[in-house]
Order: sequence, then C-alpha cells, then structure tokens
Amino acid sequence: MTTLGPVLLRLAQVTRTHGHGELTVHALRSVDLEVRVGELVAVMGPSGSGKSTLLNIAGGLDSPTSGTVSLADAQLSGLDLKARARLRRRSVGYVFQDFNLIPALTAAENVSLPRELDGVSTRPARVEALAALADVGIAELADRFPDELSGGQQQRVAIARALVGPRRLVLADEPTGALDSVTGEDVMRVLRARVDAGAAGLLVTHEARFAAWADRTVFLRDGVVVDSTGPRPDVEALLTLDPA
Amino acid sequence: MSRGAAPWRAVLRIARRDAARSRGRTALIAVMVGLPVLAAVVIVVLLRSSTPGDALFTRLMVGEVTQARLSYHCPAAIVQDVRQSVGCSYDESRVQDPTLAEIEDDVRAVLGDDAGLVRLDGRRALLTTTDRSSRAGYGEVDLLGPVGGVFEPVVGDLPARAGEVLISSWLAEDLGVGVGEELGLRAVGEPEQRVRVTGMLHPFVEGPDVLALPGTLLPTAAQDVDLAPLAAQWGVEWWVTGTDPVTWDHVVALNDLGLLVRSRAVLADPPPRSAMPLHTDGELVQGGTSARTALLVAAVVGAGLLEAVLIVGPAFAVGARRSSRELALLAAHGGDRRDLRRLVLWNGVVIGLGASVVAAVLGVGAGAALVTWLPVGAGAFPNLVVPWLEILGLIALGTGIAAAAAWLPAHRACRVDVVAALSGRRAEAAPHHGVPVVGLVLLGIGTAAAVSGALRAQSGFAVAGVLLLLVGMVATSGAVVTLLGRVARWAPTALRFALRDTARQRGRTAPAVAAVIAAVAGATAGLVFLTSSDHHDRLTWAPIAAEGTVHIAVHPDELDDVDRAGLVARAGAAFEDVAPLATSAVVRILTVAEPDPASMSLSVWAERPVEAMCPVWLLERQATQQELADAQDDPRCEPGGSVLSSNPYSVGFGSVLVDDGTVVRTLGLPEAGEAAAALAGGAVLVNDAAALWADGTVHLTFSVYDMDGSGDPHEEELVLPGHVVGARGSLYGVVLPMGAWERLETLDLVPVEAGVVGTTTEPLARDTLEAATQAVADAIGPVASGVEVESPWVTGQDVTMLVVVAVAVVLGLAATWIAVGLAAAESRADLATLAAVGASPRTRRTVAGAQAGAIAGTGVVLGAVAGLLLGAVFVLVRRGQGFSADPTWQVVLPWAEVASVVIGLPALAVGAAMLLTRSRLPLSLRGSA
Repeated sequence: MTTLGPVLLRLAQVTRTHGHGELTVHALRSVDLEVRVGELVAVMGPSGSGKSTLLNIAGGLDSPTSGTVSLADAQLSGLDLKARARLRRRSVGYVFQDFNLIPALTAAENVSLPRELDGVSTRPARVEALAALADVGIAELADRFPDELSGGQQQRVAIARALVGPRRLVLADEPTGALDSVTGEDVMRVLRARVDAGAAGLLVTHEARFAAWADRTVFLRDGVVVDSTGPRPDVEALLTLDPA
Repeated sequence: MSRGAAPWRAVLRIARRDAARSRGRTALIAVMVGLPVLAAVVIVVLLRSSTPGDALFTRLMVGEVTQARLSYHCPAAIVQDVRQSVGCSYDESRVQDPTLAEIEDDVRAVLGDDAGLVRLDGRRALLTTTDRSSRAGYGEVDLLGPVGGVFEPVVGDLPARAGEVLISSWLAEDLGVGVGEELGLRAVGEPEQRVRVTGMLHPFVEGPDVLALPGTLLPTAAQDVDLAPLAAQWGVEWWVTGTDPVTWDHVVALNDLGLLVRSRAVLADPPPRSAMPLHTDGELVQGGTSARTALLVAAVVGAGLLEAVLIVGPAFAVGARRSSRELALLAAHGGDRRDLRRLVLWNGVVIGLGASVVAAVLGVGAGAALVTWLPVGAGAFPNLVVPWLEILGLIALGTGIAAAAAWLPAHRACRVDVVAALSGRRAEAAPHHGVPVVGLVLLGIGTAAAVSGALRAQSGFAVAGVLLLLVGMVATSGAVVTLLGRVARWAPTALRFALRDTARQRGRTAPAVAAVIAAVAGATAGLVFLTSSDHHDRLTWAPIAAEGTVHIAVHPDELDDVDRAGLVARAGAAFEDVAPLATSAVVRILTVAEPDPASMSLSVWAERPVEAMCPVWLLERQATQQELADAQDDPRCEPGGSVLSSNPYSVGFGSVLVDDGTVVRTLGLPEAGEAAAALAGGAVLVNDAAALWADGTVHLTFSVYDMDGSGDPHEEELVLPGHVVGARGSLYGVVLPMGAWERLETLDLVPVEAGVVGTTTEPLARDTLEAATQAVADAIGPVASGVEVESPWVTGQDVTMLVVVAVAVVLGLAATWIAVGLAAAESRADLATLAAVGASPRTRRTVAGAQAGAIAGTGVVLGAVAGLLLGAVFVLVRRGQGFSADPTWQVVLPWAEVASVVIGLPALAVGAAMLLTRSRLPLSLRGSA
C-alpha cells in the first residue's frame, strides 16, 4: 500500500446535460470526485450511468454543463481547445477498451506520439517511449506494429502511452473489456504498478474483480454518485486465496 | 507557444504510413493525380525535344568555328530573341531591298572591317529523277571551309567538287534517291545539270535542301555582289568567321538591318530578358488579341484545375471519414485541431507528391522512349531534352492539386467529434448553414460576371465569373441534397432510406456530388464549345461550286520549261480519259503579261464608295480608343467575318477569275444563271454588296508591283457595271467579264489558263478519282497539279465529343462509386436493422442503387446547368476576341449529347451499384460496424 500524494484530479459539483427541453438527458448530476497521486479509483455502474462521460470530462474531451474540473493546478473550464489539447499532451493519458493504437505507427511511435505532438524531437521522444515501454515490460516489442501484437501487449502499449513523459493521470475506459481474464489481470497488474510508481488513475469498469485493483470504487447510477468504498484489500492475496 | 517541427514529423509519419496501408484508396488518388501529370510530362518532353537543344542548335547554326549566322529577312528592322525572330517591323521609308553589296558593307560597318563573311547563294530548283520530281531550295556555299561544320552530313560525305551535292533526308525520301545516286537539277534561270548525291544533311539543319560548292551550278557572275540583286536570291545567308565574338549589341545593330542573327557567343551566354526588345516591348508581347487569348486559356486551365481538385476531393473525404477514429485518438492524446488538419493535408501532400514524382519519372521514360524510337524522317526528334524546371513545376502542380483536394476534408476532419468517434458512434459534423447562401451568392455573381464579361469581350471578368460560378454551384449542392432528403417522405422505403442517409451524411455525399458536378460541368462545357465551334465552321464554310463539281487546276511556275498553252487541255483530256465530264469549262486567271510575269504581282479590288467605308479606314492617323469603340458597332467596319473557302485556281494573293459566264455557270451555285448572264453582258461580279455604287457600277483598282518590293506599284482604275453575288468564297471577290482588262491603258495584262471546271453525270468513286488524279499528274509531267471535288461540309468533332462524354461518365461513375462504397460500409448497422425487421434481401441492392442515383442525379443536373453556362461563356468570349464581335460564333447547345450524360450517368451509376452490391443483408449486431 503506497502513501497517497496530493490531489491531481478534482471534480466539484460537475453536472453534464445533453439536449434541451423534454429531450434533456442528465448524464452527470453534481458529481464530486478527487483522485490523488498514487491512487487508482474505479468507477462502476450500469450502462448509461455516466461512467464514460465522467472520464471524458476528466480528460477535457467534454465540458461540464456546470461545476468545475481541476487537473493539477489548472481549471479545465477556463481553458480553450488548444490549452486543453496541451494539457492532454502533458498531463493526461487515455486507455481504451479497443486499445486504440494507431495502426500505422509502431509501438514506440504510438507511445512517443503525445511527446512529439508536444514538440519533443523524435530522438528524445523515442528515448522516453522506450523507457515507458520498459516500465510496462515490453521494451523488446518497441518496433512492432499493433497488428503484430497480442491484445494484452497492445493494452500495455496503451498504458505506456498514457503515462509517457510527464503524464501522471491515466483515464482507463474498460481497459480489460476486450481481453480474456488472465490477460486482463495481467494488464491490471501493470496499471496498478504504474500508479504505485507515482501516477494516478481513474478506471471505468463493469467487473468487480478488476475494480478490486483500485484503491477505492465509486458507484454511479443515473449520473449520481450513489456509493463509494473504502481502501482496497490486497488483490494479489485474493487471487491466490484458496477457494476451499 | 511554438512546438517546433516535431508535431509535423509525427503527423507526416502517420500520413505516410496511412498512404502505404490504404493501398486501394492511395492508388485511386495516385492515378487521378498522376495520369494528368504523366501526360503533361510526356508532352513537355516531346515539345522540348522537338526543337534542338542549345548544344545541337549551336552546332547546326554556326558549326564548330564560325562566330555567327546572319539571315536576311526584310529591308526594315526585325526583333529577335537568341534563336528566332517575330518578324519584320514596317518602315515606309525602307521598303526596297538593298543589294548584297550594300548588306555586306552595312554588316562590316557593325562588326568591323576585319569580319570575314562567307555567303550562301540560293535559288529555287527543280529536282528530277527518271520518274519523280520535286521543288526545293538550292544553295551554294564553301562547304570545304569553316561553314562545312554546319552542314556536316549524317550519312555520306561533303561534296568535294562541282557536280556533287548534299540533300536533305525528306528530299531523298521524296525523290527516292540515296547517297551515290544521280539527280537532274535545274535552278531558276539556269540550265539543267546532272549532279551526284554525296551525303544527307542533318534533318534539323536550317537552310536549302540541296547544297553544293560555289560555282557548281550558279554562274560566277551571278554571285558577284555588285551584279546580283537580292531579288534573284532565295534564302541568302552569311556566316561570320574570325575570332571576335558577335555580341548581343552587335545582334541588335544587325537586327536594324533586317538580319536575323544566331551568334555563338550569345547562344552560350544569353542576355537577360530585360535586354531583349522581344520580351520588353509591350505592343509586341501583349497585343490585345493575344492577351485575350491568354485569359481564355487561363479560364480553361483554371476551371480544369478546379475540376481536378473537385474530382480528387471525394477520395480524401472518404479517407478522412474512415480515419475518424484515428483522428479522434490523436485528439485524445493531445493533438489539437491543427494537428488533425495537418494529418489529412499531409496525406494529400504525400500521395500527391509520390504520384507526381512517379508519374514524372514514367513520363520522362515514355517521352525518352518516343523520342528515341520514333523513326528518323518527318516525325523524328532532333534530340532528347528533359526540361527539369518545367517537370518540377508539374510535380508541384500535381502535389498542389492533391493538397487542395485534401484541404476541405482536412478542415472538416479537424471538427471531428472525438467522444463520438472513440465510442464508435456515427456523428456527422453539422453543416454550416451559411454555405448554401454563400454558394447562391457566388453563383449569382459568377454568372453575372461571366456573362457580362463574355458579352463585353472583357475576358478578365469572364474568367473570374467562370470560376466563381463553378465554386458557387458546388457550394449549393449540399443544400440541394438536403432538400432531396426532405422530400423523401413520399418515396418508397429503400429510396427514402437512401435519400435521408445521403442528406444526413453530407461529409461523404457532398464531395462526391461536387466531383460529379465537376466532371459533368467540364464535359458539358466542352460539348457546348465543340458544337458551337463546329457550327461556326459550318457558317463560315463558303463553297465555290455545287457539290460534286470537279476542279482540275494546273500550277506551272518559273521552273517549268513547258508550253503553257496546251497544259490545261492535256490535263482536262487526261482526266476525261478516266472519268468523263458531262459539262466543262476552261478557267482563266488574269495575270501580268510577258516577259516576266513571275517577278510581278497583280492585285485587283473593288473600292467602296466613301459613304460605305469604315470611318477608321479613312483616318490618316492613329485611331483613338473612342473611334475604335465606335467602329466596333458600325456595320461598315465589319471585317466580313472569317470565311473558310478554297480557291484551287489561285496563283497567289488576289487571283482574279475572268469569265464569259461559262465557268460560273458550270460552278453551279444557286445564283449561277443570273451571274453568268451578267458576266456575258459585260458586268463584273463582286460579293461585297457595299462595293456596288449608287449608279450600279463597281470601281475596280488594278495594281501591279514588283515581287521584290522595288519601285512603286503601277495602279489604274476601271469602272464597270456590277452584279452582286451571295457566294462568299474568295473566288467570287472579283470576277471580270471577258475583255475588260483591254480597256486598261497603262497595264499590260493577259488571261492565262489555270484549269478546268466540270461536272460528272454521277458521283465519282474514290478509286476513279485517284486514278484520274494520277492520270492528270502523268499527263503534265513535273508541272504541279491538283484535282478536287467540291464536298459537302463534314463535321470533324464526332470522335472528340464521344471521348468527352466517355471521360465525363467514367469520372462521374468513379466519384459516385467511392461515395456509395463508403455509404455501404457505414450503413451496415442500419441494413442489419432492416434485415432484422424483415426487409427482403433485395433491399440492400435497392438502397445502394438509390444512393448512387441520388448522388449522380444531383451532380449531373447541377453539373449540366453549370456546364451549359460555362460553355456559353467560353463561346461568347471567343466571339468577342477579334476587333469586333464575330457573329458566326453562336452558342449552340448539344442537347442530345448533354441528355446522354444527364440520363446515362445516373442510370449507369444506379445499374452498377445494384449489380455490384451483394444482396444478402448483413446480420451483424448494431454497434459492430
């Protein structure tokens, strides 16, 4: 169990509505949430409960109708599109269910992409990418293209990309959804390790066994946080527990 | 804050890899961009190779040692660049040619007394073998001296003695002779000699076709500069020998003497363009007509480029939509709108550059192969010249077209809904509501500017209008598609689905419709112009005789040492031996009487009364702009329009027919009877009604002048009763009654027989005509002859129009198919839903057909309207290109061909889409697409 650091992501009274009048849909209602450095927070809830909307707002891909979102020391609502893109390049990484690697780029090039987009030259960006790939245990696959990698390997590349360089917040949307259970556990182990190494994570998942890797779990229903758990148990111990 | 070049590199890498991964789409765009570049590169290589390059040109002009080549053009100043002249200026104080001695003195005054001059003396000559004859230029020059390098033979050797000649390859082919064989050679005014061919000249060397050493044929006395007038020469030239270079200043000074100069020093180190009057004299370079022609060409090229961009556009739009998830991913990881835009734009640049470079390499290869493998002879190329700068320009153009085609999809792509794209939801960026309004405004302004510019002969307006019109039509197309979606509620299910889908998915539909508009507009405009051009040619076609009338013309010249009196009779008899004539008449042309008709020229014209003359013609000063503008609307100033007319009996400018009525009657035009009666009654025929004076007379001016321009013309007037004919052919400009010339007091003119006109009882078969033509040629020996049969007007545009329609259909189908293919992929989920609720298997085909029909139908209708307007504007601009509007240029709409495109293209698109779409409906679940 690591010691938690300062708050990296803070959502305060965040509301998100779509449409107008009778067609209004409340995706999120007055949601408060904090994620600290060294903390992995799982978000669970039924379909349509607002999990993905929460993730999109946290990363600045979507804007709240009301409330505030702070990332590190920056208020997202006060930033224009360019500044938000810059924040995503430097502070936030996404991991998706479908891996979402760019098929035309090698693993290392996929990982170095946010750095290069941020103006880092190709060579130092590659050095950072190789380090990130080493952190997730697949440095030897750096020059392979996505279609030459297994699902688990692709998701490790995605995690490496989410945390390359100075990025410290990973937003993972069902990262194990397209993987078998063994590979899924493997990916969660990597994600947990990266968070323990000093990152922060917000994990959307349907499955409790993957949520168990988180420090705490937030439950959403109809856009409202209806419950949250305390600190996590030792998942590795649970996995090796004798069912008998 | 600038992020430097790193984001560019990252985006370029993705664009490059994407292009390599999406091979089908890349290949399609590469072909669309590359083919025109390839064709253009082949054309520029062939064009540049068709003239000698600098090294070869220098060798063919000045050989290895001479300093310059001087060619006499006229007694006034000429303007030239380093190679060619644009002709002589007119200077009324300098109309008489100087003697050779005067020219050489003037040249030495410019170049210095030490300058050595080697002269080539020339004549026209008749060359004969046992069975063939040909007329060509003959020259004598010291081939064993410095000039020998200019005429270095490609086969055989230089002549070494009198009686030996070099000949050109075309003459060798024409006469069927080779090195070592003998010819009969007779220069004008000299006796015939037998000469032996020692070698063949380089096919691109400039000069006479037969070359010999001095004194071989021309008497030495004739070469004495003090004795020989320039008029006796034909193609006289000098080479400057010695060591002093001939500079550009020398060239300009020699130009003032009427000499075209090709200088070794100037060719090696050309002066800047600013030093050349040819490039700096505004009047010479930008005459009104040429500037207007340039603008018309600019309009066509501009519209063509715009069309190329529009036609390539759908492929990029489709690519951008297919890459929407990738673009969203880039955004999710910090790429801003510029990065997304760059990705699509770079995709265009990468594919465009790659395709253009490959096309340029292939084009150079194909051009080089053609230059190398084409047979030596008339179609041969002198050398292979690869104009790298122009090819680089074409590569840049191809890349630019691809980048421009990717521009709009790139701007649309950067507005991608990241969340929707990442979650696999289909989202269409909302169209700008202002675009159709802007489109309508552009359409209105463009049409007004184009039509107004065309009607007022202001090509600049017309050009701008044409381009605005096309852009406006494309911009409004989205709104038309939306309207179709709104009226779809009455349509059957499949059609309704297709129309609604087409309207909602404007991102994929609009570029495809734009491409169809571009293809159809281009084709329709081309069809309108071709049809109108054909109509113009038909209107200006002026037959000189009834269809089927036979013309047998003989053209003896000063080289023919034959009895002219019996020539026409022999030619006529030879023809009738093969093809009997029902009626015939001997054609007589008025000419200057002996002893030397060849050195004198006769012009006869009918003067209009002063009140019928164009006021500008009567000014003894330069007309003002206002006077010129007034003249454009004055019917008296109409030049009469262009006339396509033959005159087989012409023996030069102003040949005048003399006739007692029998020739005109035999020519058989509708008014021939009245015209023949008028001639028989002593009246003169004219076809300019304004030339008939109030008292019914025609005032003729006869002018005789020396061909060499020396001395003043001898003129005399004659007033005769006149008769106006409607036939517009130049033959009917003036037809004199018999004996009229005998009333001239100072001029000694005589009629000479020039041919036979006749009619046959039945149309001549082609082989009969060929046999009769050969019989005539055989009967009158080396004298030139021509046999023609008056033919009806034949259009020459059928094949071209077919090609235009085919290209439009292929391009339109390609654009439609790209969009329908993407629609089919994107509609899988909807089609699965249709299948789930019980749609028949045929539904998928019907939907694909309806989608193709909606895109192609919208595109062809808008494209045809734009094309008709564009074509009309081009025709109207062409109509106003001359001094005054040419009424024979009329807008003619090719309804049948346009209808075939408007109906055929959508029908083919629907048919192909239905035929090539699998009927089985997908069973995948919603969301799996």
